[in-house]
Amino acid sequence: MSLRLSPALRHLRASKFTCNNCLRKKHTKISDEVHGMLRVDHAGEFGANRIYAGQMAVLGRSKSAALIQHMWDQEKEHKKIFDDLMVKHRVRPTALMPFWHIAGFLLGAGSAVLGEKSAMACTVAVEASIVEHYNDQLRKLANENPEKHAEIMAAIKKCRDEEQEHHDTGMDKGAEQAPLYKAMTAAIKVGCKAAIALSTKV
Amino acid sequence: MLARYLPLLQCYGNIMGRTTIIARPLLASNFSTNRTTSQDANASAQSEGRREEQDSSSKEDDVKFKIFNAALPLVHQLGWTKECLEAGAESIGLSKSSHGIFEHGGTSFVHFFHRNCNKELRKIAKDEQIESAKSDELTKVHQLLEQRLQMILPYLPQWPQAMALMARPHSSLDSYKLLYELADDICFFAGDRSLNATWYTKRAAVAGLYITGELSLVQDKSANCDESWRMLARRIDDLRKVEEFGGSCSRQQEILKDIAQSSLTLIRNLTGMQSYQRNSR
Repeated sequence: MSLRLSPALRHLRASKFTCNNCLRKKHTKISDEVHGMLRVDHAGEFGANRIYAGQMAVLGRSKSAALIQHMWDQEKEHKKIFDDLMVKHRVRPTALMPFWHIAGFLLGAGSAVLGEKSAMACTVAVEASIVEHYNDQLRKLANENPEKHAEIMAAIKKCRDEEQEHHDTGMDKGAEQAPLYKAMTAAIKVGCKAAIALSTKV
Repeated sequence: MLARYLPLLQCYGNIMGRTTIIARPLLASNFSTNRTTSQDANASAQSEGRREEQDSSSKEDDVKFKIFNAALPLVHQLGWTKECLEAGAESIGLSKSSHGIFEHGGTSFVHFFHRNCNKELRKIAKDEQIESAKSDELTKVHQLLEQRLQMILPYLPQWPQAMALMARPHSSLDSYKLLYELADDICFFAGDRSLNATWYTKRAAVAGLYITGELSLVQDKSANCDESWRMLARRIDDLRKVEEFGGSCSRQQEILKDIAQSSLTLIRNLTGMQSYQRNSR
């Protein structure tokens, strides 16, 4: 019999897992953290959809149109996957949806107006942020309980692999030759980080 | 006085010391298992969420439910109070002080009542398969709202006291949560699967309707509260009109987009940019 609570019990005593009323384990099905993950992923795929829509609106008749359309179609599939997961787990969507609707389109259209290579650079920056974010989520879920979160992890893995493909395609199409490549990608990555932090909670 | 305990402490220290030295490899493995146990406990806190809910409902919630059920008929005489819970507990043979399982007395009583009603509503929605019925979403919302409001009818004379208890600052967070859960359940079982801003507007509308219904019932003097039900039906019709207006607005949007595009093409034609674009492709 130890004098102090064991690490396991001490962890349970912290308020994240105890119900405030009865101090027993919290009555949740999937945790609030996983709810937040699904919410931000759904918002992310919605934003990516809008970015490609913006790019298509400007570059719809250029040489890259077919490629951008193909990537957009894949993003639509990703959004459908997360739509289904959201409904299944009754997750609240982010309140900033109207904002991402406009901001995503402006980012896509804005980068496309600067040229095809800039559009590719924007794609590269966004996809790099998203791949990093998905990898973080996969690590967290795998640490918690891989069996319970198997379905969600499979969905995130599929999306992550295809986003990585988009990133590599963007690089192949000369993203690095876009003017002000470093500055633009840095700014977009910061914006994505902020968006992810916001949409997890709000 | 401490001297009395000193040998005991020394003994304990010796034991700990000896075990540390001798059992260091054992302890090391223990520590690693401790880490995995904490992970497992962590994981089980997540995975057993559903089972935990059922388990705790079979022990603590069971007793709570028994006292609650016994106290409900006594609300007419004793109100939503600690005394009512005491009387309920006594009537089923438990001690008077077991009312303490409801931490905040009358407020917890009303809170539990709401939680129970929401659970009943979910059960009704699943049993009657409201989701798969042929009627449109607003009709189902109307149906579910009426069912939920009818659950407070037996306690209508004491309902103002219940509303006042839930409106207090320290229980307002709980009442918002309950209202949110109710609105979410009603919208979900009426078939709403939206995942954008309309998610919020629909739930806000349903929550507003519930509160309006409650307030109306509390001061309704007509037979069978018919005035309140008619008021609810009128509010649902208003929502229906708003929905139609919203739909017609988005149709207008499409027309505006076409107009914008064709005027852009016209300007490009007039300024000669159209042919420039065609040549540069």
